[in-house]
Amino acid sequence: MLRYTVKRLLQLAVALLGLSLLLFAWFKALPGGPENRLLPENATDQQREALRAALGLDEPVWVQYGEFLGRIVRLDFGSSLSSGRPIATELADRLPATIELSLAAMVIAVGIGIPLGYLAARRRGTWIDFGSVSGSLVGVCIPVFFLAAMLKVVFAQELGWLPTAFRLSAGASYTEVTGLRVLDGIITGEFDIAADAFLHLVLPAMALSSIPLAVIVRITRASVLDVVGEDYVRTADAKGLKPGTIRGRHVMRNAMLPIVTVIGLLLGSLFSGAVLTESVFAFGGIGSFVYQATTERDYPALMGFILIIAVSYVVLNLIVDLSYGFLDPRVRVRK
Amino acid sequence: MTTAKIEKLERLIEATATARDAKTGSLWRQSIRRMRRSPMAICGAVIVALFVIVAVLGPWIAPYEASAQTWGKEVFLNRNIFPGPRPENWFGLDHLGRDMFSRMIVGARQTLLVGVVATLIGFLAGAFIGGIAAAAGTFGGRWGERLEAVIMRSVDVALAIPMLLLALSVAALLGPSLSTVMIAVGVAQIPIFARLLRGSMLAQAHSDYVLAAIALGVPKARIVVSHILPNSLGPVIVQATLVLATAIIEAAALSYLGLGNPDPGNPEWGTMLADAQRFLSGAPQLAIYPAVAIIVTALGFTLLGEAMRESLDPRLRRQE
Amino acid sequence: MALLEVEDLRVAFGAATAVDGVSFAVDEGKVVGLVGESGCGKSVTSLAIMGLLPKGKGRKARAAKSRNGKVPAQAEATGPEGTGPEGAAGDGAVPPGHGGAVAATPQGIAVGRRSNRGGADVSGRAAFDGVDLLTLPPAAMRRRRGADLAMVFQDPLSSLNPVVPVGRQITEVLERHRGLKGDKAVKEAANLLDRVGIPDPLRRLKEYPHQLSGGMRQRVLIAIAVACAPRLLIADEPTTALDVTIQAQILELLKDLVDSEGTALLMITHDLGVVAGICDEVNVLYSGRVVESAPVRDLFARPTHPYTVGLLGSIPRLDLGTHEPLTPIRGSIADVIRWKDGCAFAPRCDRVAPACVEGEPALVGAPHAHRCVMAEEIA
Repeated sequence: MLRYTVKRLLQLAVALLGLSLLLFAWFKALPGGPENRLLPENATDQQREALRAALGLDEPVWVQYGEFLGRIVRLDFGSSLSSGRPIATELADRLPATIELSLAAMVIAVGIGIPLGYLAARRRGTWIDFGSVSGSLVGVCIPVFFLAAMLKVVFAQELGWLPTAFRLSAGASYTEVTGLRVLDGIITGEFDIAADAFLHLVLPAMALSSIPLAVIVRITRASVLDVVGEDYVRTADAKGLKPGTIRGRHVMRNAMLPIVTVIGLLLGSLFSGAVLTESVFAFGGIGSFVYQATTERDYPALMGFILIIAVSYVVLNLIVDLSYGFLDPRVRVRK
Repeated sequence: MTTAKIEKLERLIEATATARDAKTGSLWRQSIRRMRRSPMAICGAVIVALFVIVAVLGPWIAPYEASAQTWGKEVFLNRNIFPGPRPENWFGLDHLGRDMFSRMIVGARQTLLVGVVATLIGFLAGAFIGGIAAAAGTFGGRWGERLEAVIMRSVDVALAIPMLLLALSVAALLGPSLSTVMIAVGVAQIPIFARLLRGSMLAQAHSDYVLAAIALGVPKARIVVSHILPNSLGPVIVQATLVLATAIIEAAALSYLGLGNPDPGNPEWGTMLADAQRFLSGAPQLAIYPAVAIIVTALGFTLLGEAMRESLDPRLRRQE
Repeated sequence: MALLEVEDLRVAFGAATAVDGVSFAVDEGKVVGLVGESGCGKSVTSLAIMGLLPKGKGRKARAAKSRNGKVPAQAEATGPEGTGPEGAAGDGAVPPGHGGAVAATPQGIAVGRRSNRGGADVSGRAAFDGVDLLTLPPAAMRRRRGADLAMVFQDPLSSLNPVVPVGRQITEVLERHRGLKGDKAVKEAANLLDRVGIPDPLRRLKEYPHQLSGGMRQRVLIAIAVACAPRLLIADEPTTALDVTIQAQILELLKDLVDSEGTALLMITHDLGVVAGICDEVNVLYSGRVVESAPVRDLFARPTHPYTVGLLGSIPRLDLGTHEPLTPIRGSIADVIRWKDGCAFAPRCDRVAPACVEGEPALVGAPHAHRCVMAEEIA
């Protein structure tokens, strides 16, 4: 297990280095170069040169890359062109909202998807099976932002059951602990805040969970169908084990392997979905931030965002891989 | 080695691979037969066919000019209350007083174009990268293996970037337009295609008939181009069908984020859907028409792709 | 009364009949063989006794679904073993030319798996100690499986759960049927591994199936099967997937275990060598029915049914010299007629006579019984 972990960590370092190179190249390739955005249109060549020297743009490329690397390691992404605040601060303020939303969506997707997929596999050919398979086929085809907007119109605006936007009702006094507001409300004992935050979370989380849910249902169904046909499940049956034991220890523990892999792959689409969902519900996470940064061409902000998301994606996938090693002895223990 | 000799060897390989080829041939034929029986495949094929027909014939079928603001006055006078379906405009009018029905029909073409171009970019670039990696790794000796390792690690890095981020970065470079959307969605698909083709080619490269060809001394480039590559394309083509669905949806998402061309005269479903978000509570029909069209089309490609995959995958086939 | 009495057991997968009225008995402490080619229904018989076949929905409903009397997809998917007389003809599940050399026929995948959609319709009786297992409610059957009657499967790698340590796979059955928990269960599991001849059992308990050799895996499966001292052990081709040298060791182990415990063993095999080495009695199956049943010495000394004669003729023998040709049975098991119309083996039989296809042949004689109307003439 140690060997495996070390190997994966090394791969992670290589991936991140590659990523930083890619980002640097991207930053260099941006139209006009950074000095053009900082100087007025009618700047003289002398002013230009002075600024280039000040920004270190006259150094050789590899020196620039080294400095770039040094800055991002210190989480110094510069300041946002639109708000003027340091980008790292902006991101830190907004990250908890996105984490809360993504977590909630994943809880929905896993909590409903795995049981439903299992049921569809075991009741193969029934309406449950047909319904969940066709539901998940349609589910991946609905644009997330459209689903989010429709949920908002129907359940928030027309029916008025749930709030339309933001993370808390106006005027709610809130004590920040972790930044995940439902959790904070529970920790501090402000249960009304927790409930309020929860109600604000329902619609965005539902919208965001649509694609992961659809994918998890399908992969669970396929995986369970595969596993229940295996000889070792028959062996477990021949031992006279209770159905619960067979399901948990023999069917699900094996069926989980592909499911975990897919959950790792889903994280990418989860971030994309978060950007879209947050902008619909003005959820105040980094999703809304990047929407704003894109429309206003705030490149440093975009770069900081891309870096944060890519790093967390890579790290999360490392965790998924390690848990895979934990689940599958064939990866963990070599013969 | 002379050409004549090579050709002789080729015939020998063909002979050794005959049984296999016969099997592959019947595999394709079988899967087509199976697909004709599968309701999933039929639904998908019908939807895709309808979509393509509308896309091709669009401008001739549409009752009105799609970009003409024929009823502009009527719409502007009733601020933000747009007429719904009525005899002369089956789907009502949009916010600029244009006929929604005509826009939907004409929009199919741009939508298909976005999907196809994006998929082609991903497919061609991905297949090129994956193909080079597999060929180098198999036949390039030690340096080839290193090249393959470098390429595939880079692909892994690219895979680690969520698709929307790749798309955003591309869009930031190119500025907002419909071609930005196509390129962005296409670029984001490159790593997937690269990995898929490489995996598929490596599987072929270790099969008996390729080993036979190597043993007989057929030039390696020729083995790759005329034997390994054609036999490896199956899963990649299936993936392309599925990616077409994704591309149409992702393109809509990018338009929604403001990276597409805002309200082009030439309509496109994704852009229409993104534009209509502003009027969602007052005139939801403006969003629902393109949304349903996108969902149904994406579903068509997905059904077709999944049915193809199932009919080609012996493992899945056994389950059916 | 015998420990296990199987009477007129029938198993159908949709329109395809896999077992067509099998009857035999296993006495306490005896080793009984069930022999035949792939597709004769021997594995299905064992799974039916164990209650491990997926449940069917009634024969009529399923038969109606199959088109023009073809084998429905699910029965096809069960492989050679799942095909029976009614649906098998022309289905090509057993390629011609393979059925000929009987002893060499590789076993198809075991029945019951992959057929989650098509259930099996089981009828007849399988009385274990006087209780009919086929009508036992599922919960009661689960209490018996693994405790009173246990099974060893063919492929030891795929029959063990890859993500659970082998120790846990043994202790769970001890927990379930003998109420052993924690350290006690672990100690007993180590004892079991020791008994089946695995050295250093405490270390092995923590290992996973992929870390063990093929022979060791089969020993683990046997340890699981004998963990609760069952009165009947069913072994379905336990040596087929193993190397020849390991095969002998595993057979020896099985023999020792049943001898020392007085366990009855139902040995399912296509290998007459195994039968000669271990069995007390043999039942030869053909196309879902017993065609000959005899004490093992009698069978080898005076094979009566032409199919048994054919089986014996297709084994290479060391005592006949190298130039003696093997005499394979012609045709394949797919060339059959229905038992109620005559002898199912008639299409492949060298000694076929008109009487063979005039109605159902009966199983006659005891203790050496055969199902051949021409037996007197042939002998």
